[in-house]
Amino acid sequence: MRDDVPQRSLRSLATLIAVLGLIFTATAPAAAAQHTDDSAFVVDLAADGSATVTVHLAYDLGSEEGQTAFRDLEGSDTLQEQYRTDFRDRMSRVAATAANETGREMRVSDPQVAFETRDSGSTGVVSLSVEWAELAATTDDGLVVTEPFATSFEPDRRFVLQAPDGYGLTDVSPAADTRNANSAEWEADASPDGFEATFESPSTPTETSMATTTPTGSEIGTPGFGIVVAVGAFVAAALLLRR
Amino acid sequence: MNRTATLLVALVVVVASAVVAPAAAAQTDTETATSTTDNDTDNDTATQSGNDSVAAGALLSGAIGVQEAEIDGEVESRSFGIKVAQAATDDAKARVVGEQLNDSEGRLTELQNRLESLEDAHENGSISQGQYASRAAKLQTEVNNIQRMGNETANVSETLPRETLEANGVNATAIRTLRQNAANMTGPEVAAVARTIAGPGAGQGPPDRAGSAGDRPGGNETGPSDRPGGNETGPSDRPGGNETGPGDRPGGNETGATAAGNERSGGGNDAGNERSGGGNDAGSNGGGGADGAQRSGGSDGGGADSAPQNGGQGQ
Repeated sequence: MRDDVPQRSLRSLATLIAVLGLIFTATAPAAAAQHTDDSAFVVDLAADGSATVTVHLAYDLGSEEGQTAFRDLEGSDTLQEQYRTDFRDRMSRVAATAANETGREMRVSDPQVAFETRDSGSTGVVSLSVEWAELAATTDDGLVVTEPFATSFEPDRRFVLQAPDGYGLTDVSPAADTRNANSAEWEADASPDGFEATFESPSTPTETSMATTTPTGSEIGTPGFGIVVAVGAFVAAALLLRR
Repeated sequence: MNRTATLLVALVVVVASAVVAPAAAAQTDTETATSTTDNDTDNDTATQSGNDSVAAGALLSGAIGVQEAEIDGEVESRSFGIKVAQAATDDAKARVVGEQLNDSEGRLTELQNRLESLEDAHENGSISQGQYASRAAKLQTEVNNIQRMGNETANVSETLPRETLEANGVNATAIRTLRQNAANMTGPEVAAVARTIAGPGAGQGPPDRAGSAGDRPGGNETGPSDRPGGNETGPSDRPGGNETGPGDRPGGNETGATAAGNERSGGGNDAGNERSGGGNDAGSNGGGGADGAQRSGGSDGGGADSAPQNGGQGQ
């Protein structure tokens, strides 16, 4: 008999919690858009130092209206165009500043926006991307990435840096939370101040590939030297013929 | 001898060609590359300008943050419109309005706290100018979202009986206060800083949802909401407002955006001002045509208020 009292109390407490839970659920505003952990900032490098830079914004579409709103958004060509334009312009400003800081020409082009749903529609992802020329410096050994990630960059979401297949991550600072053969990943709260990542190319450049690189200032002098040699050779030949 | 000489000449020619041809080709390549770069640079310059005072990393953080906040605002606005449209009765709509209002109030308080922390950190030098600008830009965009939702909430509440609203804990004063607080939360300095990060058109909002009124449930009520940035508001006042009408900045926003940017941030202020002159707002409601122009003009805010519902100022 005495045991009934605590049991009844427990039942009452459980009922109260359940009711409160229902009330909370029923009145919880589905207002502000909620993000999920799928959000990420991804830099996918190419061998020439360019990169596809993508921001993935992931939304919790747990509610029916959330899913409808996402589909609505996806169906708006006007909005998508607006997002492409805004993203391109903003990234172009970043690239212009980073170009000043690195001394490399950086250009942003081909803005894209894509929508997808995951997890049976409960997660919606908006992906905004641009092609970014000369994001990484190319060296004889591979690729080096610094700005725009080295100063005051706060990714505020997972940050993924990925080199082409065959490249190897040799050095990275600050230390990555996840490090793979040719990629590195930092969690959302990372602060990559002083950022630098070095990737080694699969093989040292061959003479053929060297010939396709843009000549440096000193190489530009080569043609002059060639002409001198040629003229000298012709003079020597002419003298020989006279004899 | 002659034969030897001839062979020698031929050899020299071959050698000379071998040396000169690649060199000349390299020179041509260089010129091509250079001119290409020049063209690109010119093009880039047309659409971008480096920001000397803010590091590229901070610009990047801010750009991403603003873009994200803008899309957040769009998702939220559309979700609200859908919920309103799906609510079968005035009572249900009033409940949706009440939930939205509560949520907006809570977020505004959170934004206020974040702003204070940000200002403190900036003043005591614990964050760089770039970090300050980047975070301020995102925060400004989030405030714009609150303003937008305040406007949309006001629009919907206009269409509902006062008693029904009050029965659900919604009153025009609360909505007006929300909008006023959002409008006055950040000053021109933060707005200016935000523009350095996000560009002149930041937060101005999507062009429109052209023709989407139909699609979007609740389109009429929320119509105005379309454009974040609160600018829309203007229209909002008008029930069933023309979503598109105004300004939507098809394409060229950015430029015009500049203004928008100003308005936006300033928009809030305007709103505040208007409020004082409340009566006008009301007037503006009717004057639909104007909205386009005023839209950004912060008329929004004003209009909205007036809209308020139940007799607006009377409140």
